Amino acid sequence: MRRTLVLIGGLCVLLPAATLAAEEAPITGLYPTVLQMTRQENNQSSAELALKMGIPQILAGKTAFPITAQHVEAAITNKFSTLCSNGELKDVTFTECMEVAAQIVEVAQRESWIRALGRDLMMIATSYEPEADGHTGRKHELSVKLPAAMYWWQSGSDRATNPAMSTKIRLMTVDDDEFEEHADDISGILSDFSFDSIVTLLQRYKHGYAVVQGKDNRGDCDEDEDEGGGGGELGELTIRSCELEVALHKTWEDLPHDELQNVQEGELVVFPVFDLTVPGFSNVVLWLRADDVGLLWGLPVQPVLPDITVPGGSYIGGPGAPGLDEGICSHAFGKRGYLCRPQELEDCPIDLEPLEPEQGEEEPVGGTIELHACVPHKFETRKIESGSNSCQVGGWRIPTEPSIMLQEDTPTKDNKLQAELCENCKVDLYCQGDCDGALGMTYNKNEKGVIPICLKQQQEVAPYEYIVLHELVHAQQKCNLPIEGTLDSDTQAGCCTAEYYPNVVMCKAMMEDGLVDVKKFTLEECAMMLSNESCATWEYACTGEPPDIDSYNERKELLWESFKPPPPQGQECQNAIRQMSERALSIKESLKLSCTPGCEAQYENTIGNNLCYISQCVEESLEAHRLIPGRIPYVTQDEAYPWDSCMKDRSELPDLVAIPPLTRTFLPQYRGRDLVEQMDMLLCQVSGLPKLSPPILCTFHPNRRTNQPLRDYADTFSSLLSLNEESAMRAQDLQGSAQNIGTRMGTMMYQNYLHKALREFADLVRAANGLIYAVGDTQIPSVACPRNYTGGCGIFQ
Amino acid sequence: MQKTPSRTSAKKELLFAGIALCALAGFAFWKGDNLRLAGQTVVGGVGGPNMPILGACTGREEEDLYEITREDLQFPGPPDVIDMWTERYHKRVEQIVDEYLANMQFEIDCLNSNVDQLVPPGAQMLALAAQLPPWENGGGADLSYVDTPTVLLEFLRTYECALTERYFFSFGDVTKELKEIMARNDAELLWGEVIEEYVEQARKIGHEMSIARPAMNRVLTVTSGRGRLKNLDIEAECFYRATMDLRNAMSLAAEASACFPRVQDTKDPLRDYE
Repeated sequence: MRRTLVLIGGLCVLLPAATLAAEEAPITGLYPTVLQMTRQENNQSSAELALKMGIPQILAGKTAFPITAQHVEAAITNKFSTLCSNGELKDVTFTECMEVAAQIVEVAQRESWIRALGRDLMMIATSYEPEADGHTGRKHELSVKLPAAMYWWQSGSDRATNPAMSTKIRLMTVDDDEFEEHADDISGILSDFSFDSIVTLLQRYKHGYAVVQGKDNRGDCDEDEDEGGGGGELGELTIRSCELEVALHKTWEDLPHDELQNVQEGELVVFPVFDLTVPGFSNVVLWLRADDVGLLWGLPVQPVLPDITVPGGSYIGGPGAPGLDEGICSHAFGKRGYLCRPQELEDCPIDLEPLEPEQGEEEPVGGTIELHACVPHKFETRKIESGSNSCQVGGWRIPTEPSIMLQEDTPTKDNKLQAELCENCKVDLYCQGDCDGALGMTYNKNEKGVIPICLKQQQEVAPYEYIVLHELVHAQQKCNLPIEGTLDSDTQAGCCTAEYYPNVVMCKAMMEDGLVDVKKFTLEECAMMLSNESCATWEYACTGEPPDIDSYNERKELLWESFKPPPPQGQECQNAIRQMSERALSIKESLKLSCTPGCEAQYENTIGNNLCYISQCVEESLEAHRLIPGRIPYVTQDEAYPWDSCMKDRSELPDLVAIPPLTRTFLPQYRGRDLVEQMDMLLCQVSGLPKLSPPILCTFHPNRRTNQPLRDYADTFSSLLSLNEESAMRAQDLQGSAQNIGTRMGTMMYQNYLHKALREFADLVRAANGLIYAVGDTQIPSVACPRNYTGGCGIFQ
Repeated sequence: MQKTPSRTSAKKELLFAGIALCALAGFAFWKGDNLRLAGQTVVGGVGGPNMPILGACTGREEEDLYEITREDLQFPGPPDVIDMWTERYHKRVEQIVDEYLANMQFEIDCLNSNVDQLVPPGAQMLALAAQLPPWENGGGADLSYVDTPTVLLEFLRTYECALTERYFFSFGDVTKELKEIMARNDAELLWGEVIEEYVEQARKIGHEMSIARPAMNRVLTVTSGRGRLKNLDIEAECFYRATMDLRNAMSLAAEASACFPRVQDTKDPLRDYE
């Protein structure tokens, strides 16, 4: 009795444990997920759920008897006895049953092949995209490191004139515990869905939930649309889950929106990401952004597969191409990609809108090629005067503490201002009703060293901040000229030379602040159009007459509209002078001398800024200081002092160090059609035939055997019969190699693109390294200029 | 006169045939390695090339990847050999793939001129390579992180080879294994069990052969993309570091250049005369 009780008790303990053990742990990890997927595609013991549910609908009315999911399962897993000995089918003959099974298997094989192909294509895309798509939530190694390196290379002058727009990115933290809770909630919601539904939802919300709801409907979810699709073969792409959207909306509401008030126009804010735990998935995160919150599957191995019950090829509307700010282009790093913005082509501004057909011409069919004229710079002159020429645009210095003696510049004419110790000039900005007909006018330097800058009171052409920048760059140009020195602006070339950089700085500032749309205009186009206006005495002075004047005028109007300020309230001009922007203050500070003993210079520690300082020091030293006592350094004359001949030969290194030119990078050409045609040609070559059109003719060509018969008629006949199979094997080999070939072509394109850019920078780094070493190797003698010494050169060793 | 074949002639013929056969056998024995049983060598012979010896895929040595030990042959059996191999293979591949992806985060040595050594090879990958034919005799010392897919593909090849071999000799192997189990446990071997086990193992082998390579191709497609851009990542990181070093050097040069005017404004010797 006791033994029986123990046995029963033991069974009671063991049975639940066995049941628990029998429950499989959810699959995570890349390889197990892929393996499970592959197993299911080849599984002979169970059919895929989508096939079981979909095939009965596909074959409805086309079979001898209505089929169900169980019939599909039995047919696919070769359990014909189970299928045909079903009691419900007693009126169906075995032959009819086998015919139905064959129909099911045929459809299942087709659909399985498509689904497997979809997964293969997805994995190929996954192998490329994560490193390069710039999606929020990923680690952007290349996207972060290269721009960061560029930042430390540039000087302030470069940033003011560089056509490449750098996106300002701000990192912000959030309460980890609070958002971990949100992540857990979302994980729980997702876990209730099937595998295919989770894949669909991850795809649906990968660019954010607000995008799905619509900007005007944030927080609203139409219950009728919940978990329903838009219909059609790609209907799954429009599926929604209100429960999930509510959770994402709550997460977005808990972001620190108060701190986000300080974010500047065009600045992107990036938050940390939180991992989600979803059974059967790995690398799923919840990403946060100031304007949206979404999900990201880091290594997606399955796409949203089409609905198999809809006949193939019937798209309702289709997914369509995303707009320039949508989809992948809505992400902080993604929007910097070449798919999301026009290329900065200095000499070739390209219309984004297609040209209208001329009268009488037919409207072109889509896919036309449009040619655009490339208009280079029209000016070739350059004026060099004494004073610092390098980094002449300014903007590389930070204002230092003003001296006590410094008189503050007011919005009226300040007659008591004058240039001080560390200055070659001083600017006096003032507001006036008329500035000789211009919005702003920079006059010549007067006898006190002051450059008056007039700003027109009450104007509605452009915000004052940018006019101030424009005029300050003119002040830079005039600062080192003698009193009443001019810029030769009375000639066309001189005018364009003088106006170009001020307009570049002005346009760059407007683009950074979002006034000018960088997707519609390039920096070059903006600067050239403004230069034409500045030199309006000559028609199209700086660009030359455009090939399409109407198009030019249209675009000019568009540009003017984009930076038109709101109607003036009264004090805008005065405020622009009293509360100058940081950029303007930086340019104003750059007017000062760099290397005069006793003068302070402050700047951000970048390579470019350091070079600006070094080069200005060298220039000022050469022009204003005696390098050799009593002598001008660049004049040849007899030995004036006994130690002149002891001067060491100049180091060869600076002469031999050639600074490599930094040429614009290019996108390697992707000729997909050419590649496919080459593959087709390979197919023919592999079959021993010349290129035939269409290439499918190469797969079976009886001449291959009839022109070269074998010794025996029977062998020849047999070979003829197996030609198809031989060709199929060759095509299969080629197909297997196609992926490798494609991979290599893609990698080669990427290498070509980056090799050029990185090689030039590597050369630059090498050159800079050489110069630094040369400076370090310079030997300074302990004795400089001995008096009354005639003992030879030994004293200088 | 008609000559009739005599018994004596027939005997002579047989004798000559026997001597010829012995000579051939002796020749074969003398040549040794070049003439062995089929499956190990193709034609060798005097002046011919030495062809590689194609060994068996399993049971080549102790503790190989596909060893079936005594512990595996448990009563009442039959041993789940295919399931064992399948589980071991997939588990090992999963560990190495996870290690490969995890190794993406590492400390970069920018001063190392050998690109292959920038990323350390995974310990699990090296351990597996040491058990595979191309690297089992110490050839794995040159393996690097980028060789992980190669090692995995070789592992797949041995796996498929083992399964194929098992398939061809399955009946005999199953019979031998079941016999051993039954003998150790004084049980009777039933041929029905043998047939059932043989059919089941053949089915499992067919299934594994149809999924192992596609699964490996897919996972290598995904991982190879990530590895492809890794070198560029490393270059970008090293370029960034070089930039920071150069920035520091340039700032020192700027400090030195501030002294230019001071240095050059040396006292004019003409002024020394008082």
